[in-house]
Amino acid sequence: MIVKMKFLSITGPKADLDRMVNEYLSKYDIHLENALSELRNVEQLHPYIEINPYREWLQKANEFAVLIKDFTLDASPNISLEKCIDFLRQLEENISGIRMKRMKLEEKLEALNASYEKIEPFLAFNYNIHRIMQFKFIKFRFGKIAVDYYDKLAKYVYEDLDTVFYKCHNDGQYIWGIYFVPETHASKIDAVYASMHFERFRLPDEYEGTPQEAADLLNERIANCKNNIKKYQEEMTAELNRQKDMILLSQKKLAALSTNFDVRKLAACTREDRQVFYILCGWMTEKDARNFERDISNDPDLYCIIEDDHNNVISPPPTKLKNPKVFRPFEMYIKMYGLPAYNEIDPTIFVALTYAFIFGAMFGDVGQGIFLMIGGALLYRFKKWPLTAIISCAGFFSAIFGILFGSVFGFEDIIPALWLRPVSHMTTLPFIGKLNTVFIIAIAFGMFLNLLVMILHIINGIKAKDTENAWFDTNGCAGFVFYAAIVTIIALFMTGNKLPSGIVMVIMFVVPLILMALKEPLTRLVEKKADIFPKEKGMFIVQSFFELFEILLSYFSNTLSFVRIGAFAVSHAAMMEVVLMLAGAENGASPNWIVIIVGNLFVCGMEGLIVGIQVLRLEYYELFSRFYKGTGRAFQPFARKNTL
Amino acid sequence: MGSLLAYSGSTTKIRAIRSRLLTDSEYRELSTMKSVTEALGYLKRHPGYQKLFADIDETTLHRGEVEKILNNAIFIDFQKIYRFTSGQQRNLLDLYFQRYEIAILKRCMRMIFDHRDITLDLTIFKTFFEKHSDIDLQKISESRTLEEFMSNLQGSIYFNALDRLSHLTRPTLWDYEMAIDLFYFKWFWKNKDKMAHKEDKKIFMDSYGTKMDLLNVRWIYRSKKYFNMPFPEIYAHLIPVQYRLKKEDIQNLVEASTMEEFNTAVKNTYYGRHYPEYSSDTLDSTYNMIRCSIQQKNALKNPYSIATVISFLFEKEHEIDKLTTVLECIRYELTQDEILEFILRNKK
Repeated sequence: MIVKMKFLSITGPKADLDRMVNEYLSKYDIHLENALSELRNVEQLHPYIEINPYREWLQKANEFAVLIKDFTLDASPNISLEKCIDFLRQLEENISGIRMKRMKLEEKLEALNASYEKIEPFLAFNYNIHRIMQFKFIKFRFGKIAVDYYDKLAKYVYEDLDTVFYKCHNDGQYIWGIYFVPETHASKIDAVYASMHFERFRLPDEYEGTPQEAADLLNERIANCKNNIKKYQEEMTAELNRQKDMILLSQKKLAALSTNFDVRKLAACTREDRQVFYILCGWMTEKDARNFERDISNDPDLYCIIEDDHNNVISPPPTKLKNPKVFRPFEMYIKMYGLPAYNEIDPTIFVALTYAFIFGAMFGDVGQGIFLMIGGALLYRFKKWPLTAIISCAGFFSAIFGILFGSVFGFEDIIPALWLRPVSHMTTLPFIGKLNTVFIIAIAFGMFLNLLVMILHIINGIKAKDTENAWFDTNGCAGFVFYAAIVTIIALFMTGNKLPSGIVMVIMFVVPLILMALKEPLTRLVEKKADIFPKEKGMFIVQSFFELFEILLSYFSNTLSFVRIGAFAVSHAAMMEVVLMLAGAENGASPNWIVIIVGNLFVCGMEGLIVGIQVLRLEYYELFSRFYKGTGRAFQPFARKNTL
Repeated sequence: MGSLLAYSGSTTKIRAIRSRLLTDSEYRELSTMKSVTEALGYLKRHPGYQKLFADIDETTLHRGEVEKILNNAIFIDFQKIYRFTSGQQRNLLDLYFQRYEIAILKRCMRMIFDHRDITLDLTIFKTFFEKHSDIDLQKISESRTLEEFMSNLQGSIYFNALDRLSHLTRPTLWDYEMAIDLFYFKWFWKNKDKMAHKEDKKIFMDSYGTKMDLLNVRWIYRSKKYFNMPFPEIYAHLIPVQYRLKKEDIQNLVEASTMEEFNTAVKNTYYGRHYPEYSSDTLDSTYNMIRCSIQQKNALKNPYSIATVISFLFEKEHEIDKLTTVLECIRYELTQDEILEFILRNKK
């Protein structure tokens, strides 16, 4: 069912908005519309612009809350806004000391890392660096040289040169190292290295011992530094967790305030020159609207206008579904397809009944049905997944059909079939011949459903005052008469009765067809519009002809589509027969129970899935396409009950 | 038998294209032309160049444009052969193709260093480039500063070789061209190991190893004779590949104190010993001669192998060189004998 909605316009002095929201509005579910676009034709309204003062504090509270490990809030005592902000300010001050220390450490860590990076390529050099820096007669150069040039250097020049190159590290592209040269030869040899593209860089004299020792020392300091940073971080987290309740409480309070404050984004203000009023517009359920009205009746600063005629409102009402608890899980399928528009029929109950019923017929087995029913119910109890509840429902019908078909976990000989056995029960029809009874029943059932949804379509059309859809559409009255005529004729023929006379046939078939072909001009005629026929008549005739053809085809294919109900009933039985055969139970011998169990589980899972999808397909494709649009928008309450 | 099948397509195609190379008698005929226009008219009628010059009015053509068209001729033949090869053979052609990439990169670098605006006409390369190059031609050719150029080059194989120069305080075009050339030679040589067959690898090394050796000797000669470079710098700029030159050969060449000593060192190399014409004075002319002879030998020995492809590409390059020479000679009104001296000398 779709809940009845009322459109409310609430107004009061501009400064009073927050009080109104916190005191009244937050107790109700209201779907707010943008007042400015809603009141488009009212002049001199302007948006309500004000900077959210809570956002900054909310951000702070969120920052703190990130570090909190346990989000459960035991008590929820009410605290005032001032207390909230005071608390956050105090906490910020407490923590800023720790933060400062951490930041200093981070800077130090960065410096240490930089220092380490410089020494890293020279780790293989096993000599005290500081001592090298003090050399008087030997010059030293730290640097890197591209591998190609190093090869050339080593191959052709190095032997004749008064220099020692100490290779430290090779990263594939460059060789890092140090060369030493007597001071007297320095300029000449530097030139040689330069022509080999040696890139020199200066190492600061800040290391102690050999590079390896220096690096170890640095590593130790880096680790130390990191440890301290971690310690401060932990200290901060501990402090925050100590204050956890207050932080979470403030966060909650501020979030609520901030959300409530943001109401003004959707509000409009009246002209500036006199006293300024705010206007809020939105939808409430009828019941809520009545309660709200009663609630505010004594408030002098608050006026509320409830609009009864939805035609006076620009935006269409939102859809809120309300169904009995048993059917509620099936709302999932509706939402997947699209919510019904406000004035459409809510198909939830229809879907729930047909879905479970058809599933049962296609998957008739007492054992597996009860298994699905209990399993689904248990899962729903603990996990609250709507799908599990649907499975449970479907399982119930499955069990009922199991009794009708006489099938328990694939064994066909334990209980008698109350109705028939899908595989073996045959019916002979004129013209067609011998056929499984379930097929015929499935088609007949499909015809019945098709007629039913056409009626729903007609009701929808009338509700929406849509002449074309109610009377002349494929699924409107014309279509209904035509399809019902076919059904009647077939039924008469199959049961061996005499067919009606030619004139009756013409009226039953030809008249609805012509109406359907001419639906657009007819609608225009009924609605008393000009230009009944479109301009290009030839095109119109050709188009109508092919459309008619398509319509007939769709009746045919939609009807035949229902054969699958019977087909799956047969196939389920057949599949279980295979399982029993594999288990060696077909000639009365004692079966292999493991195979039986695994086979049952397999069929239950596999076929359950396939049947579930097939039924959904029938619902969406065969049934919904005939009567359901699903163009509604969801009812989204603003700030779900932010009671403070 | 396997190689016969694998190379039948490309060899046949090459034979067809080769039949359209200029013969000696055609060079003779060409060298009798009185003006460049007339010579271009002759080329326009020649089956090998008909298509290239078809839509072009030879009377208004500028020298630079003629050279561009002739250079494109190699690329067009290259593409034709490419279509007739598959799998392994394409490795070589892909490597060969990189010279076009490098040529374009160099032109872009020249634009950047000289602050000139040259619009590159990339139309005939475009489709092939898009398929085979990981460089975005459009972006590269639009780079106006070195930084922009380098950032557009990021991700390509050339990036590292050039990025190494970023520490230079005053980079010159020469540094960059040198770096990219050295990189290419090294990269090219490294790829010999990708050749599928031992024989292919041998042919590859024969052709291109020789080339790099000869180039190195020529480089040493020039840097000694004309630029008077210090030894380490000569070493630094050698192609880091040696095929038949030994370490001592290189050292003797570089460190020769006089040109006579240098000539002795040249004569002592593998090439000096095998080719009596090879001496310090004939480095240029013997370069083509030695390469020709090695390639023809290989192509004759293994007609259905990579040798045919390498040999053809070389011949085509050589032909373009000769045509350019002939056109220049005609422009400067040299006599037929003088012209023929220039172009047929190498064929001895």
